[in-house]
Amino acid sequence: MKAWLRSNRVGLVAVAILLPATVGITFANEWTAYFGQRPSIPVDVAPGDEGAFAATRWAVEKTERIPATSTEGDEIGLPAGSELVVVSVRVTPGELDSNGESPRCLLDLEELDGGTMTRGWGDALSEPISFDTADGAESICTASNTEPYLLETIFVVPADAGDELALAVTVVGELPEYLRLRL
Amino acid sequence: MTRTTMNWRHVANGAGLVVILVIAGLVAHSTPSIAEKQAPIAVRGELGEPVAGRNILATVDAVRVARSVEASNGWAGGTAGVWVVVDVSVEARVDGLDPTLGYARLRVGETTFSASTRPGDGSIAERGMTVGIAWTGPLMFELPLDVVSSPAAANAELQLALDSDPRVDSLLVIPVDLRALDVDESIETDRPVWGAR
Amino acid sequence: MLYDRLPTKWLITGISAVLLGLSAVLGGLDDVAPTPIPRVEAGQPFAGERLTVTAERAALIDGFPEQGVMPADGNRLLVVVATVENTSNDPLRLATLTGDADTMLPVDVDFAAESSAPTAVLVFDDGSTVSTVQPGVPVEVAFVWEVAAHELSGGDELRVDLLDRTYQGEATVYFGDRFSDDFVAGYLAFTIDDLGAGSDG
Repeated sequence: MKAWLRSNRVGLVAVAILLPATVGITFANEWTAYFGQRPSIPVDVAPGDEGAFAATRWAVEKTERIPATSTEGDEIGLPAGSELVVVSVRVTPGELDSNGESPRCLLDLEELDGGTMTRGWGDALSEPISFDTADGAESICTASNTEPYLLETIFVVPADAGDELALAVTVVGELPEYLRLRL
Repeated sequence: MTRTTMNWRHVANGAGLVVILVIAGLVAHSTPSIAEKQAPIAVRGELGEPVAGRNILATVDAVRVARSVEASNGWAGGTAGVWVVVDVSVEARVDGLDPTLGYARLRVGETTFSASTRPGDGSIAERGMTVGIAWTGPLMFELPLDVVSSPAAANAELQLALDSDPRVDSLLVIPVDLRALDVDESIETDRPVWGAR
Repeated sequence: MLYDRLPTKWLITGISAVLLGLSAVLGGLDDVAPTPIPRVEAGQPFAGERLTVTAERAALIDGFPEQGVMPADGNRLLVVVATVENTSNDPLRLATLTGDADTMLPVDVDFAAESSAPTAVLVFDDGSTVSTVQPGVPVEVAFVWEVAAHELSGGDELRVDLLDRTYQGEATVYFGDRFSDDFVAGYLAFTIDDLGAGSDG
C-alpha cells in the first residue's frame, strides 16, 4: 500500500489539487450564469424604507385600500368583490440620462407569499372606473420631471388579495433587476 | 462451402435481434408527436359548474341559438348562418399583468369557430382581464345552420384559454349539445359585467 | 457474368435512348408554357385554398363616417365589395399579420399607406371591422384602401388580383399551419363606380 502511494505520489498530489479546483470552478461558472441570467431579480425594499434604483430614490409615502363595498368604492365604480389599491411614491430623480430625463418605468402590483410572487396586476389607468389622481401627482413615471415628484398609481385587485403586497418598479435599462417596494 | 451447423448461439442472436427491433418499433410508435408534446392541457367540466384550469376559471351559464342577436350595446348583427350565444363568467387566476380572453372557440367535429368580435364591447371575446376579478357576459359564435343541426353538434365543445396560443397551458373544455337547442328567431344578450357575482 | 462483357458505350447509349423516349412520350423537351392567370368575372366565385371570394364591384367613395373610416384630406377610399366564405376547418384572419394584402390586391394603384393591406375590411351588415371569417359562413365585406383623390376616378378600369396560398403542413415552432407565400391566382377587371359621398355602409 505504502509503496503504491509513494510511487504514485505525483499523480495523487495532482488529483488532490485539480479535482476540487475543477469542481469549484464549474460550480462558480454555472451558478454565476444562473444568477446573472434569471429573468427577474427583485431588489427588495422594506416597508417605509427608501430604495435607490436606476439612479433615482423611491419611497412609498402612502398606501390606501378602498373596498368596493364602501361609499367611496361605490362612487369610483369598482367591480363587485374588488378593492382599489392606491400607492403614492415620492420619486427623487438623481442622475439624469443622456437626454436629461428621469427614468421611465412600468408599475405593477405584486401579491407576495413570504417573498415569492403569487399574483400580479397591471395598473388600472385604462379601466372603466372614475378615480381622480390627487392634485400635483403624476399617474405614471414622467421622464420630463427632473425635480422630485409624487407618483400615484392605482390597481384594481380582488378583495381576497393578501396583505403582503409590493409595488414592482421596472426600469427597462436595469433589467433583469427591478425594484420591489414592499407596502 | 461447408454446411453451417445449427448453433444455439445463432438462434439466440436472431431472437435477441427480433426482440430489440420489436421494442424499438414500439418505442418509436408511442413517442409523442410534436403536436402531442405541445398539446394544450385540457380541463373538462360541465355546463353550470365552475371549471378551473391553472390560470383560468370559468362557469358556463347558458347556451342559446338564434338567427339574430341584439347585444346590450345596441349592436344587432345579422349572419348568413346562426348565432350560438354562450353566457359565461371568466376569471383569470395566476397570470398577472394584462391577461386577455384570447382563445374562445366552439368545436363541432373537425371544425372550430372563434368567438366573434363584431359585437365590440357587447361581448367578452378578447376582453382584457384582471386577475381575480371575473367578467360575466356573452360570447357569440357564427355557425352555419347545417353544422348546428348536424350529428356532430351533439358533441360540440366550448374551449376557453387565456392566451391566443393555447398550447402547453390549461384549456377549459365544456361539452355542449347544440342539436338539442331550439333555434330562436331573435334573442337579446346581457351587458358584460366586471366583478364578482 | 454478363455485365462484365457489356461495353460501357452501349450502356450509356441505351440509357440515353430510354430517357429521350420517355420525354417524347411525356411531351418533349421544350419549355412548358406558363399557365395563364385566369380572369374571374364579377359575381363568379373564385375558390382559393381556404377562402372562396365572389367579388361584386369596385367603387370610389369619400368615406364611411358611421364606421369611423375616413381618409385624410385629399384622399378617397377605393372599395371592393365581395362575399367571402371560409372553406377551411378553422377561423381565418382576413387582415394578415405581415401587413400586406393577402386576399385581393388592386394592381397599379398607388396606395396612400405604405403597405398594400386594406385600410379596413368592413362587414356590410353592421359596418364592424371583420378580422376573422368563420368556416362555412359567407360574409359580405368591403375591402377598403385609401388612395389619393387624383389617383382614380369613376369610369376607370381597375384590375384587382386575387391572391392565394398553398398549404405546406403543420407548423412546429408556432401555433397553426404553414402556408406558402401569396401568389396571384386570378384577376378581376372592374369599371369603377364613383359613389361620391355615398351612403354605402
